[in-house]
Amino acid sequence: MNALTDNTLMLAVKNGEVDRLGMLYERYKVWVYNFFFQSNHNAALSEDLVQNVFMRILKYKHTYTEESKFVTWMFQIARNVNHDHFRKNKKHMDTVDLDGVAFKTENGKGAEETMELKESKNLLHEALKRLSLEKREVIVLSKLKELRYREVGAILGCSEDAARTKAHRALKELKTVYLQLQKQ
Amino acid sequence: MDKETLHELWSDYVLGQLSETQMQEIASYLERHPEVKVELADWEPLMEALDAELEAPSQEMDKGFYTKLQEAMDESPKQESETTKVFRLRPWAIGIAASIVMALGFFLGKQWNTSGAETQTLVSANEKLKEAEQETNEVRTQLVISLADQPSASKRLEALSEVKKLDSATDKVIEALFKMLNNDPNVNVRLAAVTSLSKYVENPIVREGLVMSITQQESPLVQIALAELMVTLKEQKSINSMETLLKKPDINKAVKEKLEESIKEII
Repeated sequence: MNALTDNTLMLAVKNGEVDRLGMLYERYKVWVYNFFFQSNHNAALSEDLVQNVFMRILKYKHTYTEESKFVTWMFQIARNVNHDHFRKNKKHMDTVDLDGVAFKTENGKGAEETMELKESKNLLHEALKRLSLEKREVIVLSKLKELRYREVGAILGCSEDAARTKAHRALKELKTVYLQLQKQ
Repeated sequence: MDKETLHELWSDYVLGQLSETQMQEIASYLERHPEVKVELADWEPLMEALDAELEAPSQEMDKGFYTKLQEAMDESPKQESETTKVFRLRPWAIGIAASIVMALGFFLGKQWNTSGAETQTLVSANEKLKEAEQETNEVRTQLVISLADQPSASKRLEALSEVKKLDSATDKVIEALFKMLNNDPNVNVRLAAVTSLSKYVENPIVREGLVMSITQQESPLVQIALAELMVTLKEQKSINSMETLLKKPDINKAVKEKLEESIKEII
């Protein structure tokens, strides 16, 4: 038996070996960071939110059970952190900066950095911003290599089939928005 | 594979939710049917953006997290950790502990017999405690070296986690850290090794090793982590290494930007 599975480590944290959280953090910090970053495209904010997630894991460690799957539980917490932040800053986050997109692709620095990938990544972030938070999350979670629809469903609180349907719908909407932005 | 199945699975394909075999089937179907590929061409930029590598957070996030974790550890009631249990159960650790206790007992007894001065005894006891801490550091060093050689990436990550608890690192620990940074097949281990080594940047050998490591790294995440560290250190010697990396034809675009930005910041 591997003594260092996520589950074993989290149960150790629950039992007071708080330092074990460091290993879980090292394993998942990049995933959780990207979960936020894909959604808000703000590095400093995403880093703060990642820290919030791991501090909440510590705060609510007593709710973790042997039957829990750590990744699913962690992303459920990450979603809550994201939703809380979104609610608190709704006014700000709803403001869509259409001019900003044009600036990035046409103006000086953007024009010099004609790297297609950078441009398409910027467009992707802008397109994701225009989707609802739920749709954004289902795409970002489904796109994380290691998560299957089954886990995405568990994180979102729905079945595997429902997660797949949600992901398909969100992706189609994303593509429509993406193409619209591309034409601008 | 037919066109209908392709359309049915297309979103799963874009999201990378299919098995390796299904992904290959779709790829080869598209090769055989260029007209279908043309129909789906408007997906390409979006797919390219979605497939981009994960972004790497900065070391500031690690610093923030470990500071908060340390605070939480200070607040939480101390419990015996797995590592502590290992120390307690290992015969050689028991031997060390016993020697310390015996030496302390002998020393204390001698103090009482010869001078009887209570204050001097307390000072000596403090010195003995310091020695005991040093012994613990040595035991932990051995644990790090032993875990660093384990085939499991989780064990090697545990070694790096133990490094954080060391007061000082011996040459062997530094050597083990560089071995992980430059040769470990797991990117998380290599990234964690950068963080661990950043604790010892006062040591010129470590700084030089980190500079040399830049050109050896294949992973964009590690390349970016090293570039960020070099900026923090304002390490002039790293400029050559970063310029060498920039000349590589297959360099990741995000890394290229990061390196160019880092060089400017260091200059």
